[in-house]
Amino acid sequence: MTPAVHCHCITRRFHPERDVLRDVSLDIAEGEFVSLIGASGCGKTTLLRVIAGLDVPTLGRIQVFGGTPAEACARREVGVAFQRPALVPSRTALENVQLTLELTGKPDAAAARKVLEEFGLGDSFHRFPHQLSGGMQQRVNIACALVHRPRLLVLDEPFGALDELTRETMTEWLAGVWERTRLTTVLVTHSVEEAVLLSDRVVILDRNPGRIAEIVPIALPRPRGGPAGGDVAFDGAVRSLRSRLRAVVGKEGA
Amino acid sequence: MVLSVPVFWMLAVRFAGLPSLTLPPPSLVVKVLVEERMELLRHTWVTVGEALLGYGLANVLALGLAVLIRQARGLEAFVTPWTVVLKNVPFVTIASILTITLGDTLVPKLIIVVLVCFFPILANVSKGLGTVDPVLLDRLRTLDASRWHRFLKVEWPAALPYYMAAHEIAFTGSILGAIIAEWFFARKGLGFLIIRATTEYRADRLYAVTLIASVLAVGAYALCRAVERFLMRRRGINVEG
Repeated sequence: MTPAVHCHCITRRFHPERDVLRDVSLDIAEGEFVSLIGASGCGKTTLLRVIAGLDVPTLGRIQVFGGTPAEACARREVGVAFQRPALVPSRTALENVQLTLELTGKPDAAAARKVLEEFGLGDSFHRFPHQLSGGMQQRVNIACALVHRPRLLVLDEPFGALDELTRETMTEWLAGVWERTRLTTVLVTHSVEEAVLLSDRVVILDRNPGRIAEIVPIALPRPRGGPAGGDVAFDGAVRSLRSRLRAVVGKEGA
Repeated sequence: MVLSVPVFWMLAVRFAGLPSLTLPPPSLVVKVLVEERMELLRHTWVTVGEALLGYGLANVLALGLAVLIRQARGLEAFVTPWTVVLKNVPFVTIASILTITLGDTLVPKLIIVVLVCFFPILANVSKGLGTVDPVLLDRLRTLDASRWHRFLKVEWPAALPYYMAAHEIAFTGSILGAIIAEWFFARKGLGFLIIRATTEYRADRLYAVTLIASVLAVGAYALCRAVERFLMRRRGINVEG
């Protein structure tokens, strides 16, 4: 079966002597949730941008649903959400979600309202981004990325700028959203707990040059307890992933 | 503010000891405004017409150029030196040249008004179009948005507050530009009246025209602020003042 995302020997070179990514090969199955984790500068975001069609690899081949990422974007099969919410300041929450539908040629006001209601923002339709909290802005941002029913969701540290408690709540909320949609998702994160709670597999990236150090499957049943749940298996998975991450980062530092 | 102007004026007339030929009292100026209202109105309309026409033209040209520069980045390198030179040549000297070349026609007056209004609009809109958050542009790229959609739905809304701010300078400047253009060679307009009143030593008329020009400029500014506040309120932003 053709994978949803197929990366074959991807190299991304920004300067002649510096490969941000080198020989990265990764297949992501349809309906799979994969997290990319690693120290700063390991090329997580670059890999994500290559998958989303926002960057082009210097070498190697990338396919998204059997075509180039640009083709997937043209078919409106990709939804993205970054750490900084990509919202138009002069549009309300509802209008921002509708923007995605307007751009994808599916203007459906009911769909925009429905997704915001599902995301717990039913009373914030007419609020502008600056009138929303960080967590609410990010929920609108993810609603914008999902409302046109893409086949691939790309998330770049969506909760990275939030405080610890909001971040935990939002991660559990995202896990619930994903349970309902089962969208193929690629997430860049710095949080081990977030990766364990959400992912089917976690890709640990090494740096200088950025390459895959290890791919860790997370075999916990869903729904998962989360960091505050006191789930022994969850805590064990977190410890295991953290020690593997430390081994990779420590080896870099040595 | 509205009350303090005539109060200070009357105090100045009383204590300065200047003859009414030099410093007319408010009552004399009001008399001119009433008695010569038809003539003053006729000339005011001429100036307002020139200002509005030039202002409209400046908007079309500056907006068009700002959008073109945004779409074709190479154009900026070509256009910038020209705009810098044109902006910094004193437009009073250009006005003289235009008057000699084109005579007492509408064209030199329009060119002067356009020169006054064009640069604030071009600079502000160009800056506004460039303020769009790169992550928003990335989002639009992944949605395969067309250039037109990118401009209409994201870039123009970002530029709008800058465009509105430019009008505070450009719209009021259009009145100033039209009056200055009329100074040089005209038989109509407030600028012409100023020159005539000066040569005839009619300080009362000079003050009347100054009052009209000031009301026009302040009115233009107030209108800009009102429109700006209205637009900002629609975006959920309260603008002070």
